[in-house]
Amino acid sequence: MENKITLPRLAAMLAITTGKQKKLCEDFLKELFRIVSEELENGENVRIKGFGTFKLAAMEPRKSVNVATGEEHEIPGHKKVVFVAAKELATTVNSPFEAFEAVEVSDDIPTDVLLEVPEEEESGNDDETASESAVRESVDEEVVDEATSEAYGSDTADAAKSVACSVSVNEKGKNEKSATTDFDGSESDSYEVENVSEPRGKGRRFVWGFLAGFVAASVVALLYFYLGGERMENKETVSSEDDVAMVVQTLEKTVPMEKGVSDSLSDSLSLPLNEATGNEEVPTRPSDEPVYDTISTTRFLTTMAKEHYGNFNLWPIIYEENKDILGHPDRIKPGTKVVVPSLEKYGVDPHKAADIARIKQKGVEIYARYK
Amino acid sequence: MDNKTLVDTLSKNLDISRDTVISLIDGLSAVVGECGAELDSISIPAFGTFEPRKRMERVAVHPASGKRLLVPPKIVLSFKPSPVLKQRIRNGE
Repeated sequence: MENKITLPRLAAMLAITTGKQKKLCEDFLKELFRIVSEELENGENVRIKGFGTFKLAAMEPRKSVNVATGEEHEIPGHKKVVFVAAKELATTVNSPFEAFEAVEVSDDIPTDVLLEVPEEEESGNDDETASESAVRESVDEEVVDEATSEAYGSDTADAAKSVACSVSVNEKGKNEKSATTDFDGSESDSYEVENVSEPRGKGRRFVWGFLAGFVAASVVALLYFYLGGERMENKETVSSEDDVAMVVQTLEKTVPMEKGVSDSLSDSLSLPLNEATGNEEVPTRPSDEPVYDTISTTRFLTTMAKEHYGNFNLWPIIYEENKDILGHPDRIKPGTKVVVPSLEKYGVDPHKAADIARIKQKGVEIYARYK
Repeated sequence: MDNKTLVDTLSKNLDISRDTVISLIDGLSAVVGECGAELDSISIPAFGTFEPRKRMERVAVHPASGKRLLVPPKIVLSFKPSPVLKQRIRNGE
């Protein structure tokens, strides 16, 4: 456990697993890591199948403070080596914990500390009943006190009243305490009720919303294909069987991709657009044709911003241009085709710090929309 | 550099067949995975250290469904480049 394994030991272990000579294994390891470091030095990424990828990540220049002197200085932009283990290797490393799975925690139990709450609540209930009876007693006493003090003469009444007042003050204090405990009890009860009822309501609302969205998407897709088919028939005689087949296909597409309804919708929209009206649209605006890019598992909005604008901080521009199809900025889907607008459209100069700060602020606003 | 070129270069430089190189790489992955599972770190001189790190269990909120999940502990393999490699990359820029 927690030993440090050196290169010769690693070579020996490798020799045992592969059945090769130890000398060969050591040479192999040395050569492998020499090549990898050489490639990294040349600014190349290296992928080793079944092992992982060594990448170079560009770090932006940032301000830092010298802890000893308190002086501010800037750390220049540099490149950092990042290793991403391959899936196979990651699962082998994690094999001791492989059996575990994420377990859902109910909303009633916020943290481990609050696991003890139920016991406290039970004792609180006891207090409640006790305090309630106390309140009744005190009320009775007050009434008796007042009655007696009124019955006596005015001289003695003052003294009696003061006594009664002091008693009632004490009791009022008690009452307040008990009232607060009552409140706590009732509040926590109502919270529990809310907690129980809310998720169901949300779930139902979500299901209804989803159903409505799905129906709308399929209707729009059907309509579009119908219209597109008619147009195509005007131009070229296309058999209607093809159209039906295509509609069926899109339906099949929409059914498995439950979450990606909007995606399939955009797919089904773009398909007939290109086919039917492609001839009309292309010649009208050839000059200001927007730049397209496709999101993939390795290409994010920041990657595109870095490539097209030279600064990854400008990703909110691309997001803003495509906000209708993207959804939450952290949950963009691979395969989505996005428009990369020109910087002039948003009046941004990538060399001006003020502009970049403005766009960064926009990014914060985008995230705030989804809170 | 992708996997194919790497295998080709290794087989040429070491004068061994491509199959041998592939089996050695597979063996390396297996050995590193085994060491990682036992929380042993592997240090390669002038290159860096592969350090398995244990991540503790935590309660996280599922972003889509909003459900609270108890995420189990796990071991992840991290890589720390050696100062030599860092310097070489800085010079190579």
